[in-house]
Amino acid sequence: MLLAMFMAVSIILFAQSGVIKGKIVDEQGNPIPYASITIANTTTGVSSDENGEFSISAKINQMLVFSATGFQNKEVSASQNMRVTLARGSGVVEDEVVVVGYGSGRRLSSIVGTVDRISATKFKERPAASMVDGLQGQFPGLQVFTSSGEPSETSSFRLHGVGSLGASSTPLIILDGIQVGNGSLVSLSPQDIESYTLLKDASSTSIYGARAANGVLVITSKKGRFEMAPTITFGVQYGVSNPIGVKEKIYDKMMNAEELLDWQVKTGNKTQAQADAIRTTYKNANTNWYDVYYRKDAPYKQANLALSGGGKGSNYYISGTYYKEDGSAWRSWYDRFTFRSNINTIITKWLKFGATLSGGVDKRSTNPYGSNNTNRGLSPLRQPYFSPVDSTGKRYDFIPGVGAYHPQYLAEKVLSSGFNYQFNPNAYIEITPIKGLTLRTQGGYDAYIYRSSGVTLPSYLGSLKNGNASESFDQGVQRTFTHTAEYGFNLKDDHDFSLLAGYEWIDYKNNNFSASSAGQTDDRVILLGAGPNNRSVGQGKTEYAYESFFGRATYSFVKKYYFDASVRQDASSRFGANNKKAVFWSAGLMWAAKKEAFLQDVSWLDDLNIRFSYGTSGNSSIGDYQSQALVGLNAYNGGTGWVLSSAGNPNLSWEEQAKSLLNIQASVFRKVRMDLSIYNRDTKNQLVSVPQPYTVGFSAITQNVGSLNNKGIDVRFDVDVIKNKIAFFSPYITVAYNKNKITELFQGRDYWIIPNTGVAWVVGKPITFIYPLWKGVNSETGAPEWYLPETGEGFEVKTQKDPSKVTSTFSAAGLQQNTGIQRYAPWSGGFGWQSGWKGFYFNVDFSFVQGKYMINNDNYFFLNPNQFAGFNTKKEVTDYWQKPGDITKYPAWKYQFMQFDDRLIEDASFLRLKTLMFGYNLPSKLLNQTGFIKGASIYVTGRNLFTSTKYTGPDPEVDSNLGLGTNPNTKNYGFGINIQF
Amino acid sequence: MKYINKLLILALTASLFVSCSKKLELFPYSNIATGQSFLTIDDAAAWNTGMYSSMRSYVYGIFMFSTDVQSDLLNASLEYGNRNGAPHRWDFNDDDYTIRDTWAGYYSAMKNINMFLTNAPKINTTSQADADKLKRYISEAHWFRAYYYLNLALRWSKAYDPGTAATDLSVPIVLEFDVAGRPARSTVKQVYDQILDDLAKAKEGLGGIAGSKGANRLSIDAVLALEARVKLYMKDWPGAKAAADAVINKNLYPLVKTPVDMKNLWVNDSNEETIFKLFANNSNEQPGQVNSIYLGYIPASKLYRPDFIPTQWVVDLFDNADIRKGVYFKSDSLDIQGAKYKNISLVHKYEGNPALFTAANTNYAQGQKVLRAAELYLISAEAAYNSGGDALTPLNAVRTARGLTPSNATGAALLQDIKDERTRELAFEGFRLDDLKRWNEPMNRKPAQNLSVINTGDRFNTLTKSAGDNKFVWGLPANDMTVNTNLVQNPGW
Repeated sequence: MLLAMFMAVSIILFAQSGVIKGKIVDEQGNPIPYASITIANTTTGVSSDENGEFSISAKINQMLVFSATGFQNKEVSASQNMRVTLARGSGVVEDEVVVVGYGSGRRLSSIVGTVDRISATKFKERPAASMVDGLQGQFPGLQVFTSSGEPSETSSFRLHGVGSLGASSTPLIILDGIQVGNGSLVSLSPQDIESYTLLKDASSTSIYGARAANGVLVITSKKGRFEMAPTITFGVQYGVSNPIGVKEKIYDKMMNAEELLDWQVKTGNKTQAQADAIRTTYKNANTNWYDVYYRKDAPYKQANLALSGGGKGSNYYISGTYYKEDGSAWRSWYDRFTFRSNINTIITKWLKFGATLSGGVDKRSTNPYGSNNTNRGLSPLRQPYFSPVDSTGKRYDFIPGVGAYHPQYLAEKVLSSGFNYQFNPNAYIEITPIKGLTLRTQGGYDAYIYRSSGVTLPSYLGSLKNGNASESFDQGVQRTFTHTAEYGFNLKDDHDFSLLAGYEWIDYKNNNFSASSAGQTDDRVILLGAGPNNRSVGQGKTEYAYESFFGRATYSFVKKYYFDASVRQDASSRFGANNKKAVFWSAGLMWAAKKEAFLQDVSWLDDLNIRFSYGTSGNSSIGDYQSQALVGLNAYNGGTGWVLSSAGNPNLSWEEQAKSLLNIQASVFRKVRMDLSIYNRDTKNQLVSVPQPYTVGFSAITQNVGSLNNKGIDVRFDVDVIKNKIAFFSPYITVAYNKNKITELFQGRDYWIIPNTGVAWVVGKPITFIYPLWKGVNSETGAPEWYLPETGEGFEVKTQKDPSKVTSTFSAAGLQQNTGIQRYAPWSGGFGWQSGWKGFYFNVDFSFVQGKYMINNDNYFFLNPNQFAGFNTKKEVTDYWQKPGDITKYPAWKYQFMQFDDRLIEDASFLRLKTLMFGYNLPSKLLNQTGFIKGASIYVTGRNLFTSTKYTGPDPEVDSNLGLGTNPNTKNYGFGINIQF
Repeated sequence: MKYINKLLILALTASLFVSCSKKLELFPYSNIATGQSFLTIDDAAAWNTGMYSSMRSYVYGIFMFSTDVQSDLLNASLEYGNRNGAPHRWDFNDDDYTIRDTWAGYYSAMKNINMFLTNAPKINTTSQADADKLKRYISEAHWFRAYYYLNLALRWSKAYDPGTAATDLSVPIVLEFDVAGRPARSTVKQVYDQILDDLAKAKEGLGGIAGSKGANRLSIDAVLALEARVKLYMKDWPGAKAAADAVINKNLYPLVKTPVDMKNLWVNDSNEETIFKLFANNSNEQPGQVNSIYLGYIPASKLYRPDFIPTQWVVDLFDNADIRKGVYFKSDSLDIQGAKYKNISLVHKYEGNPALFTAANTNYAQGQKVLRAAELYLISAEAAYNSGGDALTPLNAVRTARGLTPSNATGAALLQDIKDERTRELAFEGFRLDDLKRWNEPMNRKPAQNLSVINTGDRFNTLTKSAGDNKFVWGLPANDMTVNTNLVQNPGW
């Protein structure tokens, strides 16, 4: 009897902490290989093998989390020989363990803050260098813009509207716990990224303090998994790109040779004899200059190789990637090689260590002839009756008639390129000396060295035997060191507590110098020393530092009611002497409503979480020394003199934001998931250059004044329309609406016009365009007419459109009125689907921005034939007034056809087919025959394949108040293969 | 694990949390923090040098020709492009750029002086020589402040009238660098008292610094010359005369007598007659303001396209024997709206000093003369006339030096001679409008040389403004009126 009891006890004891074996299958009973099984709230985990079987060291009844790509996560308590069935889900991997806001990882479902996570698998085959470009339309509330088609372009992005009038609106970017700059992202490979997590509310961002008012984008790079067999992934992709829209919208709308010559004769620019002479001399050429200034089918290619795996104590992810793209404008290209090695090790039960070495080398060159340069930006003005090639078809270097150099010639003779050496290492140590206490120290760098070289060859006909050379060196190193201590404990099973305390030090040093010279005479010797003239040197150096203390407390009751609070104090070298320390705090609640008894039985409701938070954060993207009164230098009789160069402001401080956000996440019918957020952001102490009386000695000083409000709603729906063994179809849609409003300015003003931008800040209104208002052409006199503004103070921000009060005399300053058009687009979002059938998959993503307006500065040049006489012009100018009674678009010839008035403010809303992917995963039966290939797919992919917009300029996506000479975004398409060994 | 091991690990990890105390006070590398710039005598020297250098941007140019453009000396050519048009037509408002830039310029110079005067006295000096240097720098700062306040008062307040000076409004007096300052206007008397106070302080450190002709630093003579000018405007005749004569009698600045010397003085910036002149060179120390409105030379055609042409009256004011006439004026051919016009006299006083050219053709750069001896003779004459002294001696010193016969007029005719001589000698140096203002004379634009090349009409060449017209005094700039509610605008603006 005693023996039996003893044996029973020993069996139980054995089973308490032993090896749990089991199998993981899908709803059809098929095994799920390489699924992840982790012990809840830890990073201890294993993978299932090809048969879906696994074994993990765990105790009976210990909670295990089962997850696999394409399936919904599930938690099941451990039992011997367990069989776990996973249901299919969309590409969004739920409830992963993520590191958000310092400390060790937490499961998404237990984070009180509102965070949006997207797995990077859906972006892995995109034909673009920049990882941010693909995020357009993916996160509700995040507006992403890529403002040019240069392959090395850095995309701009903002969350929940423009949060600042004077400082940057870019969210804080954290890569593996270390802050990185937006400019560094283009040098890193999107292939190495595991997921993007956007922290949207105060509860999740306030702990980042004075840098987090614009939200936080947490980028997590790929890591290996414990107990996972080594896997090699290899992929290549080839494709081409072409500019979007600029040919159809601009070049094709300009006059052709016959039309222009007839027009010039008609308007008196040329006599008939002169026009005929041109036809003869240039042999009736008719050139569409698009073909000369842009290249068709500019190629790109990318390749990546990754090795990842792990044993019991370590895991690793090592990768190398290569990307090369030619831009469609001349002298535009990007060449990048990256390397990454992520290693995590469990040294002992209580000591973990990890290190990431990430670096890259990229070379880039951009086309410099944008803006109002006729060598690309304004090249549509070139006359079509001249030809870029001679009678034998050979390219001219200097195009006769046009009187300018061929863009290809310029690209051969005037060179400029940059080399960026990027280095982002980081390392951490994590110690758990006693149960529940985790101490973690982490440090990392975001470092770069950027070398740029420019040379104009002495053989360039524009400055023959008089070349010039310039070199510059720019080094920036940002270091982040973070120490955190986290203690989690549980009282009576129902009460879970977690406390976090931390310290962080961040500093940045930038060092740059440059040199240039001119007068080089021979292409073979073009170094700086070979130029005896115009020798010049420059140097700059700047630094900043932050020191912070922070803490967070989280409490949850029966895993149903969660509460968390955080506080952070930042001290920064940038803040004025009187405001050195900034304190931010937040409080948040979460209700896991589905767990309530009264909702347990509601079968159609799978999950319901409601979150609310309120808190403060800051924006300190101000100059490094702006708070200091500074002395600059001048010279007198050879001696050095000092004068005050900047007033400084000892009260200069961060912009402060208070944000409240309500988030509802629900999933119903096992098919539909919804995520809705409603927010309100009040930003005050805006950094504005405030006008001073001249008696101060400075005409404007940067001060913290003014406040701004943003309110809005973001929503995302994901639906699993079809989900079975053979096929799935999961569409999604995200929509965001943002309303911005200036709530206070400075010096008691109701409005403030920002000089030379066409934009004004008006209290009670959104940031608005102000411009003269065009009425039309007077059909009796042919005179152009603009509405006269109201008289008196503040006329620029009112609107007066009385048709009897007009003038024909243009004055940019005198006729400005409130156009009522918002500067920033209120609506944005995206939609698309992921779908597959047997081995095929087909994913589509659209993105849209609605309500975006932009000044089409290009049209000032293309619709102004009497101002730019002799140049080409758009065909539509032929509709001009000639005699009384004519109703026309353009006035009589003696008046300037186009002025800077609201005819130029155009609707630049757009819809783009952002990403398209169509591929085929080779079936495992076929692959098994090879014996070593675990997975393979072939695919075709595209970016920006379709664009719909009313904007008549080259590219509606430019993130600015005006577009001029933009190098337009490209549509790229290609094909590729991926193989896994 | 063993308890002791746990303790060791805790201790180890605790040590990781000791923060290195690093500094958060970071200073820039391309500028000096103001708080760090008043430590040694060398710092004071640098501030002092800075004041001289910045004065190059606040004399000549708009600071000199704006009032001449407004006066009866000039006509606007058809090619003037509305540059300086509003002051010329007297239809400018408080948002005019000339008003804005002049006011902002003087107060911008003032901030450096105020900063220096507040902080420099605290500098510790280690030797008597250094202490003397510091005293000199402080005095020079006072001189600059007096100079700028005089010019502010001349533009923005009525002519000094001892009877009403205590209530007439002038400019705000700012003596400290204060970004929060919103000063109200002081009275004319307060501003002039401040100027005299600064001059007295200037004498303390500059008393021992003798002057020399062509000096590009201040001296006691510069103080006396400015004092004479100030007291003339204050109608303190004895004071003005005493200060002017103190310099004249030193005979350090004899007046030139030959056409060659006169030309060298104005074209080549010779040192003659000049009490204080700003240094310039043809590379990194160019004058910040130049008088470029008078010629508009076109190298390709060798013709001229000036913005402003002297009136016939001012040209005729000079006798043909006057050595100034051939230097101040030359007869040129003009290209106006595509047509050529010959024999029109243009102002050649500021042709440009070839030693300061940075390219083949003129950039109108001159070594800017801030104080010259000839002005003192005229101050002495006018002051003597008004206080019953000997006006003829100083007046005739100028007349004979310039090739004219001496005057022997008396009474009103003598006053007219003094006024004319002053107008001649100081023509196009920015004095004319202030002279009309303090002589209480109207501004009647004088007959032109050639009506075909100028803008005509009652806004241009036949414009007349009665004595005491509101716009003899400039309005305070719109920016300050909007931002500083303690200011009161001048009547008529």
